[in-house]
Amino acid sequence: MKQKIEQLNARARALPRAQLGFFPTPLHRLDRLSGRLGIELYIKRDDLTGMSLFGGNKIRKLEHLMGDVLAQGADTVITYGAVQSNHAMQTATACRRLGLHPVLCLNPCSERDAGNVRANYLLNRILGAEVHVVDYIAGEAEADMKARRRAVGRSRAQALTQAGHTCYDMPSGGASPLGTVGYITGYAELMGQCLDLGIAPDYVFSATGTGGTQGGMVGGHLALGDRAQVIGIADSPLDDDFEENSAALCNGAMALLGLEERAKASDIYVDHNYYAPGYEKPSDIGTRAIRLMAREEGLMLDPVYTGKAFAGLLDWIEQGRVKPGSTVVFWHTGGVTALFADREIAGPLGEA
Amino acid sequence: MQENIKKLRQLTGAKPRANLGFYPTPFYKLERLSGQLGVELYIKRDDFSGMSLFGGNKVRKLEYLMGDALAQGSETVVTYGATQSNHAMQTATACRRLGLHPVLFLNAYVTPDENDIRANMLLDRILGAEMHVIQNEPGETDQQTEQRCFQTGKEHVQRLRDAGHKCYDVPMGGSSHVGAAGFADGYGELMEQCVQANVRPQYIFCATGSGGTQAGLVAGHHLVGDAAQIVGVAVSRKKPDEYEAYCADLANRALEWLGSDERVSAADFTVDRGYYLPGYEQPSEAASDAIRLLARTEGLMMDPVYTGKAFAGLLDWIKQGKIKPGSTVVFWHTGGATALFSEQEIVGSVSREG
Repeated sequence: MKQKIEQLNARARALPRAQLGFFPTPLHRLDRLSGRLGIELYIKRDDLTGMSLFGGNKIRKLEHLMGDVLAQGADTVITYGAVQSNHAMQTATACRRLGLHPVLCLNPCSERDAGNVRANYLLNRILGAEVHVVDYIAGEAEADMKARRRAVGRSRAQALTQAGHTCYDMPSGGASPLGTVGYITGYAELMGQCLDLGIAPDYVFSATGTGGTQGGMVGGHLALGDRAQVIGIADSPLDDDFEENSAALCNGAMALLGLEERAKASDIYVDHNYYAPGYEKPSDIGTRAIRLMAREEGLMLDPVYTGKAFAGLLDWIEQGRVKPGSTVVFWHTGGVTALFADREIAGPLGEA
Repeated sequence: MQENIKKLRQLTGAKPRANLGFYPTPFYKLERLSGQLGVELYIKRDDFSGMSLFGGNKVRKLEYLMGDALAQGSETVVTYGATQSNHAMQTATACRRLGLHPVLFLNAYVTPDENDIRANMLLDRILGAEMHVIQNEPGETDQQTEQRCFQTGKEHVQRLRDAGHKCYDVPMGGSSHVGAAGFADGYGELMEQCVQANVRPQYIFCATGSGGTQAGLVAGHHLVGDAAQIVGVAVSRKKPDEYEAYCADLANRALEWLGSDERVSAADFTVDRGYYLPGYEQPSEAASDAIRLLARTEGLMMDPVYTGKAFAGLLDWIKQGKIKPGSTVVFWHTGGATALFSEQEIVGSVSREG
């Protein structure tokens, strides 16, 4: 496997890349939780990607996407997301490190969300990003909202282009084949660390949302042929064609790397049972999972992604779907700033 | 010098230590800002200490303090600070990692809103720390509240000990000689990185509050014998001369604890009191500007209470020519960026648009 990892890394090095993080991120065993849960539990710390303290999984994608931005000579990056989007904040951070102008087109997830200067929205302000918040329309279909959000970006790109700027349009979540390359190499990084530790994971759990992170992991898994099952815990009611789209992202990225393996929709395993009551809405099981991790290991998860994903893993263990003694990697994808968001996102975590 | 660094790290390496962070923390040049300011500016990323995302400078101290707590067979750790204290939050985090029970005595300079608990206090709640909040009483000065907070905590420690519990008492800021020793070790770590990168710092800037960080750095510097000047930028009112003498004593007790015969004096401490106003945990325009500058030039975050003011001090030294163009400067990022998510009275104008 070592040889396969090296080959994969060599191919990735041929792509343009901006240095935006500190890699490899730590992989370590959670001793106290392992004992308590009766499994061998490891954590992959992509909350610690850097280079800002508030990094996260998007940095792996942005290293490739920003490499492309620089290669194309762009001076402005336009991207999309929710008001509290981790991707948008991390894109603004990356732009500042590289001397580029960040333009963010953001949608509120509720009426209150629109003017609430907390968490990632606050960081965007400090970063001086150009922020456009689209109106919140209750009951609007997601596709319609996305179309409006996109239109704001388009018209801004047009104006900036006319003023002589070169704009780069980046999809929400950094979920493109190029961004997905970052998680193929991320998976190879993990497996290299596992080799060094002398472990072979049975399961790799992560939160899944836009599909790029999981698509990349599955690509890495297919290329390396390791024994792990890659399981994504949905953070929202995902589209019916989510698995297909994620596989397409994976395959696009595999093609960019010149790798032959291809993913089918059935290779993307998603558990849809833990996002309720909805995206960016706190749940009791998420809150409990966050408290458990904090109180047993002194580590912080977030209420939107990693808290729910960890709740899913805990339930799999409780149900016996993960057998006692199994080796499990929980991939911490970051996003911990959401703890400091409004209570309607963070939930009752501040209660005594 | 390399021989001295090795000796220093042998001294610190002989002490019991709990593994609470990822070391060495990153050290690298801020390319864009260096160009803009006309100095060779490096950053030491102790905000990135881990193991929780919200580490910071206190973790170096806690590795030795908690090592000591474990060596003494403690089961409960009591400490002190403001409601938004980084030290208290990091101590609670360390306790949870080690299976110890964290007890925090927190004085409320800023009254927390029970329906909107923020930043470090929110993290303390998530960690399930036992928290005792001491409110400012009418007519009481901040110092008096702080004293009452200590007093109440000490009484609690006594009660626990009388009841047969093994209780480890950590001073505010972790600034005991044991904690300071952690920063002597940190200085050795930085110097190893400097040797490797062929960098010779002329200035090392850091925020200084409870004194343990600067005491440790100066002790480490004294043992290494390099050419850097260590400049502490005060984050609160410090009595003239008294603070330097206090820090020197802390450094000397750390050196003694480490088994070194070397000693420092108050004259080894440069503390600039020009940048903390209007007061501790109170935002300033200079700090807001400094935070924005680092965010917008390098994509890095500082905080309004400590690092923002310290960096504002460094910028002013450059502007005034106290640091000559082309000088090599290390800014020691001591963490605490969670304060960006605290109460508006602490955050200040950095949250404004523009």
